[in-house]
Amino acid sequence: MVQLTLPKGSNVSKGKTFGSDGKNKIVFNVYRWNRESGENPRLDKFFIDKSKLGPMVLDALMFIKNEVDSTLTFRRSCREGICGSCSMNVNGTNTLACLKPVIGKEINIYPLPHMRVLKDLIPDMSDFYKQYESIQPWLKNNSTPKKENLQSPEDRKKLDGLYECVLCACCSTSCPSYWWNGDKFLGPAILLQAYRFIVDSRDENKKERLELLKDKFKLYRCHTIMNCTKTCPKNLNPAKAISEIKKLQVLT
Amino acid sequence: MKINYTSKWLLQKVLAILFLIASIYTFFSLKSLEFKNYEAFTFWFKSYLNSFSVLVLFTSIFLHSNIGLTSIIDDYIHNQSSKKKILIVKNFFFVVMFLITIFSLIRLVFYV
Repeated sequence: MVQLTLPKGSNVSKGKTFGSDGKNKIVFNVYRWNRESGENPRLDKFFIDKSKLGPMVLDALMFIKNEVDSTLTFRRSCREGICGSCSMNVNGTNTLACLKPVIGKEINIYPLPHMRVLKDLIPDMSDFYKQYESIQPWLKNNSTPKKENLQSPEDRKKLDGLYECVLCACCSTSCPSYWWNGDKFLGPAILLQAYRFIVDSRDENKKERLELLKDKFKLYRCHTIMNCTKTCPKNLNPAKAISEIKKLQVLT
Repeated sequence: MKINYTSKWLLQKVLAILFLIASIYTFFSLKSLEFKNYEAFTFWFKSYLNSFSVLVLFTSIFLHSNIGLTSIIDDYIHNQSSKKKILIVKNFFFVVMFLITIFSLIRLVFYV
């Protein structure tokens, strides 16, 4: 049965407070958890002067790490929405911290939901990457081409809205089906990637790729809830890609 | 036997369309009648088209619900033993409901 209660030690308690409230201050409530401490997760409060911050949530987190609490842990790299490292849940929505502007007086920051947390805002992405590997995300040809494998502009256009995915897992971790069956359902991000290779004119394994997805869990746990499309920080449409795969399953 | 879930998925969509068509026909057909008494109502079933639309309506409801409920059970029940038992109870329920529908329709069309 689905677990309806939180496991022991997972209740989020009130944490430490850094700074105090005042004019021009923004409060950042940040989820903190350290496996080694053996304590429950906590929600730390950081009162930060708005004038000291950059425009994005990632700037705020970097400010906190550099100036307030160096133990705060999170992933980041490109700070411009290309690497997909800083995915987290900000004010109830999965997004990239580097693309999310600091707006309002209070900002709540949690790790991506329904993922094992390694520390603070860092989720364990190993299962997600294993699922990505399972769809064989590379071009597969039965023969070795003797010259460069070119695409027509029309064929190339089919990849628009697909190739931009940075695998941040915001969509997958916002999907209730992925929450309940994350071990078997591939999730929107991986299915969008699967579709990207299915429609690629340079790939010759379309049939095998579709056959691989013909499973009641891998593909058909998608119930078109559309959280994935709503949350995607790159404004992609994984739900559409999934429905296109389903259409292709019927037609082939 | 390995079930083809693509067919199941497609069947669910087709059943939804059938359900919609049959329910619209049945609703408007029944609405156009004035049910003054029990006899008038049972007379409506004497038409093969009417009774067939009711048969399609209930069959599509049961099959669509069966696929939908199976999907919900697959989603939320992870214990294989409990899942198996619940699926048997669910299938039994729908078979009984379908048999009741068939029995009622035969009775209304031919014996009442």
